[in-house]
Amino acid sequence: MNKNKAPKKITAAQMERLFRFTREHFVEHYDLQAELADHLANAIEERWVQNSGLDFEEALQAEFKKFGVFGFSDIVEKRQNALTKKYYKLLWGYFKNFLHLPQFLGTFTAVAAVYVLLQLSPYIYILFLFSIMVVSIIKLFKLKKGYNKKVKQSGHRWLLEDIIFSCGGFGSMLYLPIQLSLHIYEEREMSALLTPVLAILIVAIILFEYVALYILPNKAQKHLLETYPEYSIIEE
Amino acid sequence: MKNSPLYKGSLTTIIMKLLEENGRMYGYEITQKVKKTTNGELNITEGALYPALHKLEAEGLLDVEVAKVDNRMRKYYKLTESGKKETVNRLEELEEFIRNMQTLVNPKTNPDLQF
Repeated sequence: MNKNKAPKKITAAQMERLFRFTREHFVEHYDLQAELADHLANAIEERWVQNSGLDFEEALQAEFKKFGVFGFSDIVEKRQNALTKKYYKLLWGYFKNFLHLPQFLGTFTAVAAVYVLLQLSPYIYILFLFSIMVVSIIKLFKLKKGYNKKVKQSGHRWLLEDIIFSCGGFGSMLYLPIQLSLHIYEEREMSALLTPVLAILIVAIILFEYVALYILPNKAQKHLLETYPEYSIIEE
Repeated sequence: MKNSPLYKGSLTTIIMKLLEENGRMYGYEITQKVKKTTNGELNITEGALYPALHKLEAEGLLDVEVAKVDNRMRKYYKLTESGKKETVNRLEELEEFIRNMQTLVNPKTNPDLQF
């Protein structure tokens, strides 16, 4: 090794190749692509300190082997789990506000109003559920459309943004209430205990959908900037 | 190169200790630092390092900073205030574990058990 010679560095074209390499290995999101591409670049440059004649592609393959037989997939999966957990923490944070004063007064009034309506007819529960589903689907469709357009323009996808604009999988959230509605349809009446439980359930679903479909997408920018300091530089 | 499962449970504590000593570090730097400090005896694999960093970040124990180095984005991790407190707890826990293991593996060195 010639000590007077400046160490060989990764070029812009090679950096682009590293980004492409991560994409080829199923890393879809820019946040993780950038971190892994920088890791590979550092490792390759370190190899060049020992052997400056080493071919870039050869060094890249050798470094990738260090990630094990599953490549980047394990990192991607665990990153997804970590950010999904973060998403639900954010969701719960906003949801909790409705259980504290003064918002709690509104929540309580809503539960009482739904309770009164449910006493008029058990079918009102099904009507509520159907209305929530229709409104949610329309809003989700609009959000997705806007988000896909933005991704197409910027060319970058950010994992937390993807999760926020998937709105917490509201379909699975409606599974239990729909099952309950089938039960009500068959029984054609509601017990005294079931009515307040369903009133609370309906209001909880409305609040959940409101947080997931309105509040969080509106506050997405704030949370993305907190999570990704590079977001403002890249998305400018 | 040692990379025994015995070390796995201590990975997050090792990362937090390094960040406590060095302020902010990036992923590759952490792997190299561990390798250098242990003279190559301990090797943190990339497949284990990043999930551990991302988990600590999601738990609010680490914060991230980004800087442009050599024309590319570099992501640095540093301890948050709660991360600093948690590091003290985890190090105490690890030290206690080491003491207990020493007592169990090599009881002669424990003065309490000598007559």
